[in-house]
Amino acid sequence: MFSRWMSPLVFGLLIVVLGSLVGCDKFLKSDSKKVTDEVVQMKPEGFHCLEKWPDQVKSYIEDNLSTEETAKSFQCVQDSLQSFARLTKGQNEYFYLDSEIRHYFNRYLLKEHQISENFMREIMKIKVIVVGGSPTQMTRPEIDQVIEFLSVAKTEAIELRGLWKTIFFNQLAEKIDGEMLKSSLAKMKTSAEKLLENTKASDSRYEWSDFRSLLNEVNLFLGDAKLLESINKWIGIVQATKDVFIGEYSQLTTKNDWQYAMNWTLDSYFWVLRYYYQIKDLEYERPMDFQRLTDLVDIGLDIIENSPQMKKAGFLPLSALDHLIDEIWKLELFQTSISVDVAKVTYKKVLTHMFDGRQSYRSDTYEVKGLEDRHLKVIRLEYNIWKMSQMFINQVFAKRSGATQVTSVELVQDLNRYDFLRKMNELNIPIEQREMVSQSWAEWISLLKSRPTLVWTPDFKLNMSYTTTSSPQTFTGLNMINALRTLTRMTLRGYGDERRNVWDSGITEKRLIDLEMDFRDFGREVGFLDPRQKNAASRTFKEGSFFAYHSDGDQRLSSMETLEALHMLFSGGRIITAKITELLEKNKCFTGRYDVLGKAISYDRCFKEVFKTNFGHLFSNLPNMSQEVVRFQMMNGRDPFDEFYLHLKDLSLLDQHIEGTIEYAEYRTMATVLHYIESLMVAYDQNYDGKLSETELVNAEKRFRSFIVQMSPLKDFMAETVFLYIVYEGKKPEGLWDISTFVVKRSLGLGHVDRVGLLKVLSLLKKEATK
Amino acid sequence: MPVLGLLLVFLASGSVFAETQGEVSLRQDSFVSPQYSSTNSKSFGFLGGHLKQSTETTGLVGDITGEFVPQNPMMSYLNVQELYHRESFFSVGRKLYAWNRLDEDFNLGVFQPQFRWNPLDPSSQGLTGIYMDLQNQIGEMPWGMMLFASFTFIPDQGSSYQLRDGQFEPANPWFRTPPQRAQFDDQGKIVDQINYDLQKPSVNEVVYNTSFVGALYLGEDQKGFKIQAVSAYKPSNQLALGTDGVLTPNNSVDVKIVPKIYYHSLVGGDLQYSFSNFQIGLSGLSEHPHKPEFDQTLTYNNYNDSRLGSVFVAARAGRFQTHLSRLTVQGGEAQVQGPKAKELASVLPQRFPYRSANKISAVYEYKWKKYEGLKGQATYMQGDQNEFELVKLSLGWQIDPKWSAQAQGLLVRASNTVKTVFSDYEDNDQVQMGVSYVF
Repeated sequence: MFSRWMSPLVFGLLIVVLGSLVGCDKFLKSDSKKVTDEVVQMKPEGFHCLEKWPDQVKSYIEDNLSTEETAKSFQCVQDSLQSFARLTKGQNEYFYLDSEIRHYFNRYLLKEHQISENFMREIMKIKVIVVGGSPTQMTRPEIDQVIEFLSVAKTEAIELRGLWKTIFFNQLAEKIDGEMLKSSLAKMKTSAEKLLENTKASDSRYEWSDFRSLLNEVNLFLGDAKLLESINKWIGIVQATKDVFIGEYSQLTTKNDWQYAMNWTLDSYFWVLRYYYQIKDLEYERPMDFQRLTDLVDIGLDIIENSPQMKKAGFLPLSALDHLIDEIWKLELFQTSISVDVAKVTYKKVLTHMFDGRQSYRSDTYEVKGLEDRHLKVIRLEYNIWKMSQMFINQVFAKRSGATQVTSVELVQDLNRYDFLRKMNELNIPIEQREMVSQSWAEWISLLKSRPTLVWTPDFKLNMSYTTTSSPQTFTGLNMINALRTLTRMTLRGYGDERRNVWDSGITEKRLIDLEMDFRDFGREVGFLDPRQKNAASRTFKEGSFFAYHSDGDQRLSSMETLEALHMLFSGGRIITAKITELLEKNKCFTGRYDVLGKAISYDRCFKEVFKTNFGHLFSNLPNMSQEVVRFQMMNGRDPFDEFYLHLKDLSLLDQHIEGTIEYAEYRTMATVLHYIESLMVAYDQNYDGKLSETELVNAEKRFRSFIVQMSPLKDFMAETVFLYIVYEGKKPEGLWDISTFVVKRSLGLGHVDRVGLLKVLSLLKKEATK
Repeated sequence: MPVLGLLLVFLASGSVFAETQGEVSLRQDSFVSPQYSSTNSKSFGFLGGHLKQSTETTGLVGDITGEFVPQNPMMSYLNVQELYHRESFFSVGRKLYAWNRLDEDFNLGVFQPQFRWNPLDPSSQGLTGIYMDLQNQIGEMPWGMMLFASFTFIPDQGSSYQLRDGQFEPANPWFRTPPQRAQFDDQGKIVDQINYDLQKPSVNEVVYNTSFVGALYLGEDQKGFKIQAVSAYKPSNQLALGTDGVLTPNNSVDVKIVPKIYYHSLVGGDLQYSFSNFQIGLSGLSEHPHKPEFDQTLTYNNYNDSRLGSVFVAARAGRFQTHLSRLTVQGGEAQVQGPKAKELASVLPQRFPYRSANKISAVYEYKWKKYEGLKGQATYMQGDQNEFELVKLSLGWQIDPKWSAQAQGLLVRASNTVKTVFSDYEDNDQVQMGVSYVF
């Protein structure tokens, strides 16, 4: 029993027990997190996967992302957008202001980089393209539309998987063929069309300047100096190309505009891809190479003709073309010695003088506004003419798989059997061009059957033997003939006398001088014209008149004469000259000084030695001359080569010749002159004895007559006798006495003139010509 | 002040009847955990009143408690456990009835609403409506039926809170303050404040809801077998919460909370056997919650069907009584529905305060005079996975017929791996001491 005083005590004890329990650490020291400390995790689902996006995009364009990964990657963006819309709102419940979106991205999602006001503006412009609406607001339905658009984009991205390596120039060329590019282009177009269908692009007023601003802002945003540099490097040329083909102030206002521009852009891009993978490294030694080239040119011409600017305005503006050239030169895309100003002047002259229709209607550069439809028509015609012949050449060699040359008989047989009309249909030659293309085909046949025939040796020099007509033609040789034929046609188009058919026209000396004047700067910058020589056109005209196989001595260079002269200039002045340069370098003949063309100057003695030693090899295309020179033997203590070389030098030395040396321009002339000499021999040495008899010389006199008349004090009186006097006496007759005694001498027989003799005559003629 | 007003009205009406008892009390509550930080002050004084009215036949029955905290009025409350008029076998008003043993043992609040002013120590409140108590006491096996119907509904009574400018004020230690911060950025460096917007339903929307409960029992409480079966269709006493949260350009997260009534169908049964000084029994309960009707923009919990089971043993030995019980919950998991299920799940409540519990309580009462004595009580409750422990110790000293003193300790521990109701109040360990006067 408790006493009354015991009760409080017991109560107190219990309180103590209670208190001790209350003090128990187990209960009083909590280790759980308080609710008020909890943080609600509102991290948008899927946002973390955005971190991997740059890597995934990289993998995708490297074609290393599987279908599943691609789908996931897009899903990530879709989920992120969905989460964003779900978990955030603007001040207005129904839409976000652009500033609010920017705020969210900058505050919560972006760590290293922040979106500037300008960048946000550019992003909103893209939003307007995709879903329309205001450029300063994004409504919730618009976010849903973006997500839907991404679904379409995902499907298309999966569809296009595997193409990107090719598209970004990262594929091996041997893995790419034309069909593959064609099917890739078709896929790209289909995808682009589907994407476009799902945008509001046609309602937007997006311009190139907007795209450029976007790129700038992306650069600033990423702060990647390398990327910035790379984009800045190419953006100029891209814009310039766009200005040329789409227009400087173009705005795509309808769905059709967008569709058209997009397809055209894809066509153009794939054209570049085709060039990159299939053409860039071609050596043009197989028919297939030319097939690819013609395919590329066909597509290229279509692209130009169908460019939005051409369709809309009917021309590609010169100002835009100039700007494009500026950009190309700035990037140094081609290794060239041509300055940008000369390039711009030259293309305009080519345009206005060669592609501008008939001479009487031909414009000057200041009159044309650009590359017009009429210019393109001429280009297309000349290209088709070239292509028809090229297709024939391809076929000749394609059917003789592996053959590098065909006999003249085989060639003629093939020419006779060639179904030209069927080929014209196959190549879709336009109806209005067919008459001219047919005409040119006939001329091509005639050219290949002409005697002497233009033939190139297997080592790519003009074959100038007595038997050229029966010599085999090589693939590269026929290609060269076809190319030079086109060059001749272009020259005649621009500077020929006016005749209905280009191949029937010819060039007078005056017009050739015009040509030189027009392209003098260009010729000098490419090293074709020596700036120290002022009369290149006159000289070339005379050379063409005198030394082409078919020269007739009249006052105009016919198409055939021009073509043959070009062949000799190219064979001697370019190919053999290049080989001589190689030999000079190899034999250390260079003095260490350079001429005005930037070419090394050689020691004369060294040159002569190299020239002599390698004459047979260098001029293997002039077999008869080579054999003769190689057989030169010491006679009476004199080396005939010395005389040969002396006269050759007389013909070739520049007025500014430096004693003891020889320049590039000088030995280039030597090589060309030897072709001229041999041309005369091939044309007139009917008995192939290596000498021209009086009769043979009389036959040749016709082509020199006008010149003889010009220099003879007797004018056209006894011009033939004066010509023979010069040839045999090695000088110009001073008066009637010289002529009279020579007539007597002729009656007794004049004998023969060999190549050295001809050199002497040419030397004399040269002196007379320069008086 | 409204609390005191109601007490005075009750006192005035109570004075008419004979069986009325009034009590005033003074009490001091102290939060003893060093980590307690819910309010600035750790101790609070309470001025309380308790009125109890009972009758055997016809008349008003009530049990109302009210406490006022001058220092922090937010902690004041009025608990109307019962208040009804009895007329023969009819009763109208709020009346306590043990519809299901386990629900009452563990104060789950499935059948009857709970007074959760202190969520660690809840107590039942009666359903409010019309009761019809039919009993047949004739024969060896008495049986009866309790039917309840109502067109009014009063949910659980929780602790008071104050929401100002979107922020819950740290005024009441028993109010579970929801998370105050949200994290949106992926790296967790930026944490924004949450602004709450509690969109309380209208009174009509809550109160005018229909309830039907019916119980059939056979046997007596303290003698032999007793079986009771109960079925109910009524609103859940715990409101469902719908929520939505959006980040705003003001660098804050606007969270909207929308409480909503939802119905559930209940079936329960008790089986007990009493012999000598022992009682053993089983109790079960099955709940089928109906889906709350929230706006589709809101995220909310949709609870699965649940089955709750309990066994209990009670014994009495002189002045000593003990009671052991065990609760298991199957089902009842929350299925988060709505557009922000992943983000806002933590804001939403679980269906039950815990998923398992073992409870033991002991009472020792000693009186040396009719109105003088001591009564001590100890209760210990623990989760199956030791996810929580709750110790409640109380001692009452009846000093004389008018005066008494009380002391109580409440200790709680919660693990941070499994979330229970105790997790939110782990630092709310407290000691209470007070005196009361009966008049």
